[in-house]
Amino acid sequence: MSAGRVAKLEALLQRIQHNRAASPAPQARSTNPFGVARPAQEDLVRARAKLAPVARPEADDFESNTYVGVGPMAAQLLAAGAQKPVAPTPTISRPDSGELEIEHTYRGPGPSFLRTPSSPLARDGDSGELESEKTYLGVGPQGAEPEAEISISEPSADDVEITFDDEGDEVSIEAEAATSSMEAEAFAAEEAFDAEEHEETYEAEEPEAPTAPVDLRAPAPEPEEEEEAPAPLQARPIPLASAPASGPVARAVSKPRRTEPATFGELLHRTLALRPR
Amino acid sequence: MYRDKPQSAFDPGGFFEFDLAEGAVRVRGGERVLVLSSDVVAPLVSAAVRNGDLTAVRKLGRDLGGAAGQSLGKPNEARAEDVLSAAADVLSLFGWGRLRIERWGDALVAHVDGLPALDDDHLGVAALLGGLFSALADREVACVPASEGGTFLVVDPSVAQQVWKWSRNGENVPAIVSRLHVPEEA
Repeated sequence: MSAGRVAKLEALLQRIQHNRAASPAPQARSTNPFGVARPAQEDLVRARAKLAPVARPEADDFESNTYVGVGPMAAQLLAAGAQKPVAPTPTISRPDSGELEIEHTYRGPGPSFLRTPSSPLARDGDSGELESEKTYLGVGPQGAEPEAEISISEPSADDVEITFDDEGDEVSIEAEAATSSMEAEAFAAEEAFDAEEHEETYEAEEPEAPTAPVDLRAPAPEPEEEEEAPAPLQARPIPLASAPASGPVARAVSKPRRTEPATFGELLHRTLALRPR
Repeated sequence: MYRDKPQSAFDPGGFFEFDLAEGAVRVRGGERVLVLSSDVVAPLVSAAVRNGDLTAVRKLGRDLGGAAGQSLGKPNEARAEDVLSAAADVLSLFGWGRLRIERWGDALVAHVDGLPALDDDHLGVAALLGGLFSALADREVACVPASEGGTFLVVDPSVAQQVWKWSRNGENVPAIVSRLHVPEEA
């Protein structure tokens, strides 16, 4: 054990003894402030809880990230020759060089995105060597298509990869710039044509003057006349004239040929007329 | 034809008059009758069938038809339903079963339910029915037993032998009726 560490232990023991003298052991009470008796076992548990070691950081040992218990019980244990518990020291690995290496792969939608001055990607010093300007997958003169997919993946804290990909044909930057300029000219020409041929003038119409004074107040309600209660509905028959009974209203002008026998004689006559075929 | 339920004009009340003092039974028309059991009549009818003379049974049928026609006036001019209903009532009153009539085209088929077992071919009942309809129609009418039990075809006596042959050969009522037709001159 080094001399520095022995000195720390001695200083720690002194503080422990000082704290122990400042906080005497609690006296067991048999009653609570309300005069209700409570068992002595409960006071004993409370006293032990107060004597339990409390971990607090050592100010001078902050660099080593070591936390040592400084309670009275720990001091007693240490005085008895017990080995001091040592908490596991957390380790943080840092790169030795201190330089952050970032690899960027750009497949951007166009040169304007990559050439943004405020972009850290452009200020990284590698903007002049980006292959994206030469190999990016173009998206046409109108910009990125709605169905284009943009994915940004970060495999680690140091590696950032931004991928922009779509299924369109590759268009060179020069071709896109030319197409954009042509479209801008065509749009300007169309705007000029509309302004010349379809110029319209809108003049605000003067509001018509009111022909009569407008009274904003609601007219005073007229006194309602008391109406008599309506009479209950009653059935009122409509008299209908009926024709006098003067005789048959229909007259048979022809009679159908009788097919069924009406009398027993006719029926039996047809039956007795049957002969073998 | 059968729209209205037929109301029989035949009144069975007091049809038979039992004169115990005289020891005679008379019907409404005054004709004397005998009350016989079917067991006694059956051998007599069977004997008449074997002899080929059913005149007595046919005479009994005419008497029954006369009794039915008394309440009808002129049966040939009366409704067929009324005439047939009266005939059925009289037949039931004498205990010869219940009569029903069917029409197969122009042919008439009589059914007798509960007829007495007098002979094997029901020729006795056929003779009775022939006499009954003859009295009502005021002309000769023959009834031929069909293959179905209790069924009789009402035909002219001139064609009764031919129809009887067809029936003996096992032809049913529809087959026999299909063999009959009304000639053009008729």
